[in-house]
Amino acid sequence: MLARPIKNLIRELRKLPGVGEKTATRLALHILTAPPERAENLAHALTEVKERIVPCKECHQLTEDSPCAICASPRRDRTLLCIVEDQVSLISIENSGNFNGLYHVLGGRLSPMDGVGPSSLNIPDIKDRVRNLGVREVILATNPNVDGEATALYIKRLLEGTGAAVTRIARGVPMGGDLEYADSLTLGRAIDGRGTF
Amino acid sequence: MIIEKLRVKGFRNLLPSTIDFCGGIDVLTGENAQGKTNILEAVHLLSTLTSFRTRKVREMMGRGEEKVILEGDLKDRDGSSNLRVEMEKEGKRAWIDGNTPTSTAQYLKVLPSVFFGPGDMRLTGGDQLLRRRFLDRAAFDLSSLHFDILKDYKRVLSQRNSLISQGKKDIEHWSVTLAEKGWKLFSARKKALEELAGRITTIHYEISGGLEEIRFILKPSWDENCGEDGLCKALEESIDDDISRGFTHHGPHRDRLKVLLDGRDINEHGSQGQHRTLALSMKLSLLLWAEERGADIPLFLLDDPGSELDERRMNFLAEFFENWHGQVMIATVKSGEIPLKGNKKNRFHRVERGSVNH
Ligand SMILES: [Zn+2]
Repeated sequence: MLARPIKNLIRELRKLPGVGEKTATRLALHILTAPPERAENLAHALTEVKERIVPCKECHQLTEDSPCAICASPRRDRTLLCIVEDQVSLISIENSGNFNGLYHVLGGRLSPMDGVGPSSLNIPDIKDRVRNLGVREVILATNPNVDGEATALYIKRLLEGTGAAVTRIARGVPMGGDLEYADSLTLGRAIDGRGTF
Repeated sequence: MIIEKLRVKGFRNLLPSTIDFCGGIDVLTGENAQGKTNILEAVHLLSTLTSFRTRKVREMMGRGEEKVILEGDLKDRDGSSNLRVEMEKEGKRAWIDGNTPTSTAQYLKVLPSVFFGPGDMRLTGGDQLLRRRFLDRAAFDLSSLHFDILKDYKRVLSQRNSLISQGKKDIEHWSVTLAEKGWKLFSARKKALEELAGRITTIHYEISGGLEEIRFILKPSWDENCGEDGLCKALEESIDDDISRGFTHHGPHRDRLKVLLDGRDINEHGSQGQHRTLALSMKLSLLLWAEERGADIPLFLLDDPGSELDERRMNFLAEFFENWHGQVMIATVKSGEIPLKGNKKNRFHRVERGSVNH
């Protein structure tokens, strides 16, 4: 039988995405046998990330300072807005180096059967943001699965009358695939090959 | 691919065992409730990850068992392969040669099969769900992408229905997505039907000798000439109706496949015999089609043919099997029921109280 604190640790680790019983046990035993400062560093990093990281008040990406470095940068094209579902997609697109505009992070995608409607996402403020920034093009980079597709359509309709052109990333990413799994190169092409929507 | 060995553990009444198939015609005989159909079902599960009897894993677990393990050793000209399925209360897991498949579609391509059993009489007897499944199976044979199209479509439909049940009308974004996926789904089914219709007619003629003209009409719930836009329009126009009835009533989940014999709907005018011949012809057409397009030859699983087929149809089947180069597995009460002439390798397996004697 494992001691209670170890079981606790395993249970917490199992809550992480992609971690099953076996991996959780291995990680827990690794932490247990590592030098004490390693475990302390990990604990510190975990607390710090929750204390210091806040959503950017403009684009909603996770950041230490709000507005974030991207929103605050004078070198970014403020008339180009890329709408993504989450931080992971933002990082993939940033890493591709093909995009120099601003972002808007939705925090998910529409899914009525899970109770996720427009107001549970960062959708209501998009229109004002597009108007205030004077955006000329909005790129919808939600995932190419059905929920992401419907989310893109919803936002497209929302932006009618703002004067901004609305484009959708090219289907370079495999059907039914998530942006998270598309490599940066593919995403870079998807941004370059975007079309009217 | 043919299946040479089946290992079962914890499945229904079957004792833990390994069954050796001859790869030609394997006949499982035995009284009712001894386990012959269970073996067929186990092979079907390995092939398709679904049972032809139930969707509930618990029903398939042996008494007092926590886990079902099915494993098949396969062989073809190019080499050998291994499929493994484990089922627990929480769900199923599958492996190809010890590795987790990259997708369900990839798994389903390894050991394709066609099943025909007593329940298939409903295929021509007006069970539209069964007919749509038949078309989906054929469309999957045409392109494995069909699996994703179907999955996507079902998801959008649930999303739209969820909003409908809340009385929401501002759902155009879901209608547009539903129409896009729905049109793809409908077109794929239609294409598959076009491939099969002629083949079904040919087989039907060979079995019955009758000269009835058979026509298949896939009838969507909207005007198909208006395509995807037409479906979208129909969806948007029926929102009030959908809300009051609580579900989406346009789209390929409501497609109807009509079968006409000499211009008359088989549902209303067909005799029992006509239903049987046609249902059998539909299933056999999948086999012939695979052979003609050079695809992997499916395994044919036949459950209890004696309950539905008369002597004439049995003779036809026996001849068909002996001339056909795929593997056939038959579960039957009487071993003499299928009049095999011995032109093809065969083996009889006697099934008694969950175990097999070769
Ligand atoms: Zn920001």
